[in-house]
Amino acid sequence: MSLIEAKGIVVTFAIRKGLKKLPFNAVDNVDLEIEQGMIVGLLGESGSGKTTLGKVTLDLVKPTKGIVKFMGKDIRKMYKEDYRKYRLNAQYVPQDPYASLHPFKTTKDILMDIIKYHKLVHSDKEALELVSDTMIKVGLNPPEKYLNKYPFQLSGGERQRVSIARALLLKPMYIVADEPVTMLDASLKGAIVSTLKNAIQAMRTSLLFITHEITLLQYFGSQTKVLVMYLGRVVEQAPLGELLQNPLHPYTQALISAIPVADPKARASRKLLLRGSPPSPLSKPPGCPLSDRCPFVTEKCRKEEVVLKAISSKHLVACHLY
Amino acid sequence: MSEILLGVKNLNVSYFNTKVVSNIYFNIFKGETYALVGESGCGKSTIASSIMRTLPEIAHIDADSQILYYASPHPVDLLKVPEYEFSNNFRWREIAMVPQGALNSLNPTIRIKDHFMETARAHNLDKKEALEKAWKLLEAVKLDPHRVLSLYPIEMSGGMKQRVLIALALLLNPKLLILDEPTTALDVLTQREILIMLNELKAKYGLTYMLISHDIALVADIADRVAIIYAGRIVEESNVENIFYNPKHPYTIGLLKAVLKLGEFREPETIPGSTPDYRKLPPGCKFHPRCPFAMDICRREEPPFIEVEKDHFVSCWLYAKR
Ligand SMILES: Nc1ncnc2c1ncn2[C@@H]1O[C@H](COP(=O)(O)OP(=O)(O)OP(=O)(O)O)[C@@H](O)[C@H]1O
Ligand SMILES: Nc1ncnc2c1ncn2[C@@H]1O[C@H](COP(=O)(O)OP(=O)(O)OP(=O)(O)O)[C@@H](O)[C@H]1O
Ligand code: SF4
Ligand SMILES: [Mg+2]
Ligand SMILES: [Mg+2]
Repeated sequence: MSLIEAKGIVVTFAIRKGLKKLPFNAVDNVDLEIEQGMIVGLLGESGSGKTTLGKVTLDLVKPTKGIVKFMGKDIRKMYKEDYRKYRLNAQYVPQDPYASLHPFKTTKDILMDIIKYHKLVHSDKEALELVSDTMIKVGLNPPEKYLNKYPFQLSGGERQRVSIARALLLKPMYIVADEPVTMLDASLKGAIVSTLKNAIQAMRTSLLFITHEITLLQYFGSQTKVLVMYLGRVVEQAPLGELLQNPLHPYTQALISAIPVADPKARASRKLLLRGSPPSPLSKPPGCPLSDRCPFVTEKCRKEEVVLKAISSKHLVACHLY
Repeated sequence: MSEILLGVKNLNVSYFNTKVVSNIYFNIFKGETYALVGESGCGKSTIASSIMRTLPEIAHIDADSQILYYASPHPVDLLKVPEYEFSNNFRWREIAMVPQGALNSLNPTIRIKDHFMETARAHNLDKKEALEKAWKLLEAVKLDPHRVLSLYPIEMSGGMKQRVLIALALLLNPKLLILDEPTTALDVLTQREILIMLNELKAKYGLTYMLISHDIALVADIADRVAIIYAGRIVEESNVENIFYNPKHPYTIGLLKAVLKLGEFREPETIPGSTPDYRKLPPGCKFHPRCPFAMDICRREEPPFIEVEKDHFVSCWLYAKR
């Protein structure tokens, strides 16, 4: 049984234009399934709906349509006790560490309060030990260096690690990590991602890892299920190894070719396969959402909706070319 | 080489009594892209804020530190200029910055047009002139001014917001633009677009960039010269080719090794140990506790900064004469 199952998720937001409110779908009919102990990678263009989808699975955003199940139970129809268990077990590492840490609390308070609130341990001493252990795991070492600092006294990457520590503390069954290491260098990124991987493997936790760095997902192995989003839709879904070797969707192809290669000589030869920025969600083109930028566009793409089709048992793509 | 635009000399910065930036020297030449690279917490943003003079109250810059700005024939020490003069003549007019994490700093309640108008008002710029300038700048950052000026921040993607922030920073025609982690929050495709746009912008307006990033792969795509920072010190400096093809400092070598190539499935290769604790930095080379090549002298004496080949400087005992 899947730990998290989201089906037919639609999230409609409205943008206020003067007196009018113009609705658009930030997430548009997406299915997402995460088995217990599994890692799912979520890639996609900025604004494509990754955060919104992640929040839907945590019940931080209410979907306009669709249902979310936790351990097979619809979270809207759960008994109070089950719902409490779900909320306690579904934790979030938010995307923006500049906005998400309480500004007037020290690192120590931020982390200790959670433990106390959920009554995880019996004494302050135990709580502090747990906090320190977790901080060391995420590279906030030695902990004393950070315990009494307020968020504004921490660098960007330090804030991100406080957020990760906060999510790990509760040993939840499900974590949504939303671009959790964007501010760290390659070495620390690798270290923290493997910490996260080991921690969740030890706890049999499921992880939804939102990122724009495909290479980072490589630490989770070639079998990791990856979803690629564009303008609210999932345009491709495949195990990572397959996705890298055989990217089918023109957007995925462009994304992979844009990855920085750490080679100054490669500058001249690096092509940009897709130009322009994605349209505003309000002016999403009819048919395929990529049709206004896609180099392979045909008449059909501009008119007909595309749905996610299975090319093989684990590789799905939403593109008229296939 | 061409003319110097900014010369940082013996910069030392502390928060309370903890020194985080030590003995920093570097020159930025007119028209180049100079990159500061280093792990989270190494002091990059602190250096940027020292130049912009936006450090918090509790920060202290040593009296003999100098930041020389060579706009006129006679260099001006920016640290000695009175605040009103600095804010009237230098901040935003000569040197502007797009700060780290700025994507969410746009005021959500006002339109983009008003962001430009407020900045103009704060600097006594004529309204009509400012609007014309805003229009031109938005075109230069590849946005449609007609549409974007009337948008609210929430109606824009991360990439669009970053472009707006860059355009805003250029409103008063600065010569030096400091970009603190300009693309971390963006997907790789948008990243590439922004980098291409930054290069065009630089040529068009004759700009000089100081780029701050933890992402060495990104630096390969855009920087001319690179300074590698560790524990608030520059440990290596050279042109981008030397840094990538002939790195000398063990820390630089470690950073480069940690970068995962596309399609590589392996355990992360990380630099062992943890980031230094500024309150009790080790004696000698600050990197020695983590360095695979550490020798006796490394534990005792701080290595000098020496030129190992033309324009290639390293601070490491492996290359220094004892
Ligand atoms: N509360 C909200 N009200 C209105 N629109 C919203 C709201 N939250 C998000 N949006 C819009 O919904 C779309 C999807 O946003 P989301 O944050 O999920 O994207 P994302 O893929 O996480 O992007 P990024 O990579 O920039 O984090 C965007 O166009 C965004 O501007
Ligand atoms: N206001 C402050 N008070 C005390 N310490 C601070 C303050 N701001 C930063 N620091 C500390 O100074 C050091 C350098 O911080 P800085 O923000 O310059 O790092 P950075 O290189 O920009 O890191 P990142 O890549 O994570 O943004 C860090 O150890 C940080 O904890
Ligand atoms: S000085 Fe010594 S410890 Fe420092 S980097 Fe060089 S070899 Fe390593
Ligand atoms: Mg997001
Ligand atoms: Mg910083």
